[in-house]
Amino acid sequence: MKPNFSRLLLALFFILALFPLADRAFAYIGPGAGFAVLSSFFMLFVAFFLAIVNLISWPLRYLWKRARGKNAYKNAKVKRVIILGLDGLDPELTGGFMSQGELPNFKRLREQGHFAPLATTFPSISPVAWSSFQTGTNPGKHNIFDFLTPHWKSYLPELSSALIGNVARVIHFGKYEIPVGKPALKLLRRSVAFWNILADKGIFANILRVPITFPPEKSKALLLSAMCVPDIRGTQGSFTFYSTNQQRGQHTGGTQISVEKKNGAFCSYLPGPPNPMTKAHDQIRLSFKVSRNGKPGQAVLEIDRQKHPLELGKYTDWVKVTFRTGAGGKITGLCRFLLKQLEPEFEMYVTPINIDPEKPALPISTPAYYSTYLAKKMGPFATLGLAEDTWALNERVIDEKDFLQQTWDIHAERERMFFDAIENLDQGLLAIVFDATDRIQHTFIRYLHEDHPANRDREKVLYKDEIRNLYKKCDDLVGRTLEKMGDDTVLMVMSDHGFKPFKRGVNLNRWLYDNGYLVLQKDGNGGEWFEGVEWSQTKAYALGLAGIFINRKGREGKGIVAPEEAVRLKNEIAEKLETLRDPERAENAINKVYDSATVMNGPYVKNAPDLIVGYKPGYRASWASVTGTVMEDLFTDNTKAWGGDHCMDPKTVPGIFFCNKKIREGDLTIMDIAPTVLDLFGQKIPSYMDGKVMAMSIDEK
Amino acid sequence: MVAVANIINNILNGLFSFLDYLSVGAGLFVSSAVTGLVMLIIFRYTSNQKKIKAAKDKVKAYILEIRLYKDSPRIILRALGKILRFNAIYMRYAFLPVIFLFVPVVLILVNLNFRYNYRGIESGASFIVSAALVDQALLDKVSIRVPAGVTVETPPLRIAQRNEIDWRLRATGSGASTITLVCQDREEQKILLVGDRLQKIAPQKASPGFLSVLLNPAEKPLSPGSPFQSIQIKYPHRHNRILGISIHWLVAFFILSLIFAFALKGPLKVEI
Repeated sequence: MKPNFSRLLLALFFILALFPLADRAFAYIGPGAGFAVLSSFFMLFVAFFLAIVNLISWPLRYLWKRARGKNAYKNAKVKRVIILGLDGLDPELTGGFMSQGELPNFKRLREQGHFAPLATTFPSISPVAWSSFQTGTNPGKHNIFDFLTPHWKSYLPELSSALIGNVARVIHFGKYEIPVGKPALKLLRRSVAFWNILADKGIFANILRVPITFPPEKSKALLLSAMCVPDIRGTQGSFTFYSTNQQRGQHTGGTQISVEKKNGAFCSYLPGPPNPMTKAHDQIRLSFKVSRNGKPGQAVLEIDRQKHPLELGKYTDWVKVTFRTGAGGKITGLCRFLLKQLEPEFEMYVTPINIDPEKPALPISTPAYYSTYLAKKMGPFATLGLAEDTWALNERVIDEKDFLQQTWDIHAERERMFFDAIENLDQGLLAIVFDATDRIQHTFIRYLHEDHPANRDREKVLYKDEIRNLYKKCDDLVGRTLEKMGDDTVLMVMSDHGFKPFKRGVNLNRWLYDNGYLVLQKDGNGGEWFEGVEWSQTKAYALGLAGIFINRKGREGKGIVAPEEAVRLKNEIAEKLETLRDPERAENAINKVYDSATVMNGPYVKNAPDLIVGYKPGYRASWASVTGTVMEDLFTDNTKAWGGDHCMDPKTVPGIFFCNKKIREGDLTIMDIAPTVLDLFGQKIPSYMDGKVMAMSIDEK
Repeated sequence: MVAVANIINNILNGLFSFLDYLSVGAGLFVSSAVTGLVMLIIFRYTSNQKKIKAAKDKVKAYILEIRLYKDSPRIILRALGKILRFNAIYMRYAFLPVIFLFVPVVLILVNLNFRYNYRGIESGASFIVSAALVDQALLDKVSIRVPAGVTVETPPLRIAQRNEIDWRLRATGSGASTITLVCQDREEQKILLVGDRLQKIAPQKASPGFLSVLLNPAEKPLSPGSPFQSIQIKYPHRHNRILGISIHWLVAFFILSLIFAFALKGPLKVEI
């Protein structure tokens, strides 16, 4: 029913006419209205109570802080600092579009303040670079070297930044088990984020979606976690694809589920999380039905006792789905449905099921209710670490149009959060990272390179301008930020790395095998995750995107290389790899191989890959090499939609740095931002930080 | 229209007949649960659930904002303003379904009121019978006839300004009987209930209009063209004790129906 003013008047008139006829006792008008009155009163009471307490106590708190000499902003050189992170924005492309007059706001920033490349980390991977951004340290001090890290005993991959464990204790009850307490969650990034230093000193800090902030640390800052926040199934993002066509097969990064046709409707289930209340941890499933509604290209989805309209090629809004664990337990998530086809085959795509920010199954913010606040104020939003589903595009489950729609919708959600946070920024720090720049460059940069293997037999024109559009949208975002941010604000626009095409993959494990450093139990049998590797004879192996690990005695479970031999071995491998030629392109594939011990320092260097492979732009570790597969060609064409990358020689993929204040010339690195912000707020720079304070014109005032 | 009102009353009498077999506490418990459920369902389908949730969410968000930005008086004051605004929007959406809730709730309450608000005249106790007439001139032409077990203690007291005539009576027996009032050959009968048994009690015999019949379902209305406007017996109020607590039935009903509605709103997915 759509309420309107005339109906309201009619209702009031009717009620007023009836009241005199009823006994005064009948003024009670039922639970609905009763609840409205009660909850309205309760909400107002709480609101006014909180407001009055805070308003009355504010001058007292202020005076108390002054009396204790705790004026946090006493030495601050600025009122506000805003850091606008645009993951992967490339200085070369930015400079190019700027010179073509496409980016007026970036140009304005450059002319008013500063623009320079921002040196990234070794290796040049987002989790590593953003960890250096937040701690002001090199990776040897923050312990993040890649997305994945090998388990030293089993050689199997583990998430490098977060430990998501089980609950410490359960009570067994037949086939059920009742978890006591919360699952173990630990952020594996070491060192201290600079916003925690600020917040501890009483300086306001609001951090939105900066990578490697999951699980959120205890802090006085307001923080919403990003990269590595899992989906509701505990994965880093698994889509679901439904089809009546069984030929579509298996997919990386998602699951295909068959659909039954019953009485003209398509029936299946949405796979949820493992049930924490059963011993077997069976997957909880939510049945659904899709029925045609009589209009062409339209249908109705019935799930979780709710109906949602579906239209071919259009995403639904976020749909809240509740998985019941039994005994009253619930896990809620958010996902979007995309009807791809109704005939001749039924096909539907469902995004990974995000943790519901309103009632998060795992903590995703500090304080815990911050995500609830954002969800209630802005509506539902993506919470998954890598929310844009690049795997679904890689697997051709969705097309470019669908992917762009999804990515820009997520971007719009974040923009709303960002501008709302600017409005609430009286003084202090606001840092946010937008990911659309990274995801779109990964998947669309190939359109700028006609010879890219991923363009073979594919449409090459339709999305040719997508990268240009992306940079223009970023420019527009910068423009609106400049308008909104107010005076006495330092604005830094930065990225963690740049971008280059990824045309050819190099299987490092194959190279190590060919050169005798990696041995298989049986020749020709080296599958995923080091299946078939003979560790007792293997000297080196590659896992993840960064580089090569030496199978060290005392570190790896079956390590055989003694420390003194490791140095010689590293030099030997590095020398050989630097001459590795791609026979098909008749060029060297690797610029330089870096010894971790020389490009980083700190207590955690021992956990880093021993060699960081600095690929020449156009090359990267092959998809199979990343997952520890040996038996594949040494060089392969990258034909996936993911045709751009930055896991190359870090010197070739710096990020960008813009500032609205002039900065004296000099090389800037991503590690410089943390000490610079601390300095802007008049705080002491911790001695362990590797970054240097940027010489900003603000100092000379 | 009176016939329609009678049909409605008969249906409601049938629906509420189970209360005859239950104590006050149990009756209120069951009727509150059923009312809570029915009202929730009506509320769900007559309100804009999305807008109610959106308004409530905004209010809650701004309450959280006060907590999050406790060091900023500017943000606190702005949040308060927003809370007032969205609370008004919430009230607007929450009260609209009252149009649909009001009629069934009034009918339920009327029925419960006649069961739980009054008790019968105590045996041996005096009570007042009042009759209001359509014309002051008729005051001298009214007489009363009482059944066995009821005595008339006082001569009639006539209050000319209100067209009213009163008697004080005393009941000595127990159970239901009929008092007859006569005026110019027209007789009207009023049911008298003596004793503490839980039963439907009508303090007033009302004129025969649609609403009057609907709001007085415990006794048939006055006959058409009656010289009487109403006939009333002043029954004492029932003091109900539920779980050892003395409580007005309406308060108990209000609390219980809210509790049931609150408990059922989750499973029924109703936003209130």
